[in-house]
Amino acid sequence: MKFNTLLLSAGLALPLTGLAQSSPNKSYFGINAGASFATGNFRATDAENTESGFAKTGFTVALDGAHFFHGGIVGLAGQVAFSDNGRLLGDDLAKLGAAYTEAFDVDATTLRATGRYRRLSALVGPTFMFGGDKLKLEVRGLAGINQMLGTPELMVQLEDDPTNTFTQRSSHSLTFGYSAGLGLHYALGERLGLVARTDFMGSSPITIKNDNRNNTVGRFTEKQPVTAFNTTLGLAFTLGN
Amino acid sequence: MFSTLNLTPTARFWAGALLLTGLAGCNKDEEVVSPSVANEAITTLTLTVTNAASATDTQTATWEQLLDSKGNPVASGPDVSKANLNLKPNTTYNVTVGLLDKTQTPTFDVGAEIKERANIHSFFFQPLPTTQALIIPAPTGADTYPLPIPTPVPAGNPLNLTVTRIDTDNNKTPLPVGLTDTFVTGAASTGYLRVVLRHQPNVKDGTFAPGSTDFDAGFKVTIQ
Repeated sequence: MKFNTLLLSAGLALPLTGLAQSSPNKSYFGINAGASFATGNFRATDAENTESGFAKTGFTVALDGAHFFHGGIVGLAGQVAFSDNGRLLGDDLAKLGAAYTEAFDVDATTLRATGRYRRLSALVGPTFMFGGDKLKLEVRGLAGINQMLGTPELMVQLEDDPTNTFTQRSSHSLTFGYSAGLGLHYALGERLGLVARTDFMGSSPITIKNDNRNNTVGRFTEKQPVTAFNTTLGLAFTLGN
Repeated sequence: MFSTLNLTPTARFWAGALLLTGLAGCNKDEEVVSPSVANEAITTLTLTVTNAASATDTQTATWEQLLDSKGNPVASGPDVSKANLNLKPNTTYNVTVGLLDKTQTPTFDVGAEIKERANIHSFFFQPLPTTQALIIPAPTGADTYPLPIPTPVPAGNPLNLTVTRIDTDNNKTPLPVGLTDTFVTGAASTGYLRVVLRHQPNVKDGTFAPGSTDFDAGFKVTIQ
């Protein structure tokens, strides 16, 4: 839903920015950092939903760049970004534990969680930049790869039997990734600009392996969608004359 | 181009911001023990036995252990007065197992719950005496068979009864449950039938050993 809203906003912004005065666009590279808001099932905390990720609002750091052909409004953009969307907290484990306890009909469940949602993405795609010398609006859509550097690993021990333990492993899946968003460039000088960005990013569901799951009971996650809404602030360094 | 990197205060600001965000993402472990609400009890196990060749030839046998207000077995012990099966020789019977919790009002149908949770439950049936390998291990130490089965079981001719579990669960490799079964009798004989419900969370593999016992009942069986 948010993704659709973003696309609609981008679509509306295009003709409006087209009305503004345009000046030649220079290629640039830059660095951005800001907040990454997990969305959808990635953020959901319903323990009965096997796709609930319990991901949090975290941070993202990105290296960006774009080359504009002949100084026009159309260019090719690229981004390499690192994002962190937190870890499982005590409240999350309490919810998951209650669900496992109920599903396996046991007196108690002990859960241990380690690791965080961390990923690296490398995306390329078309970009369009409009505006004057001082202020420009950039609209872009990127696609590429999303490499999970880790997800929370969850160990579940049923009652007090240490042999009756199963584990949801940390995922290091390589998946298809994409993002779409807007960037506002404000020129601080001839070469340096301030950039505020807002992007929706997602990836095809990552694969999660489970160890020692002998019976088909309770929450059993094998696929995890990853979606986030990122807002960043950064610097852009323009290239060429 | 790289002259812009001379803006060291700005560069320092961003380097500091990156360092802070990196530190904010440091790893921590969490551990939580999640207890449950009290599980339902099981007080009553009923076998409904129907002659496969004659639907009107039906009988029930009930083994019951009532509980006090604290959930402990009542001092008078189990009621085995109705735990008797009288079967015909060389006959096949269709059998269903019912479980009740009579500590609740109204009485709670635990059998329906076991059916929902079939992937972690399994019934085991042990005819006694037997010359076959035991499906359910004999009690050891201070443990005893459930009444009316004597401990130890007197040596004698085997009970000519073969039990086959019919229903299976939804595990990736389906395993027997035992809520529906067939009893096939042989020549006339007498003995006992032990019925045990095992709770095998994440360890159900078709064998008796893993898990714990939810209910243990005994029946006197006469084949004549």
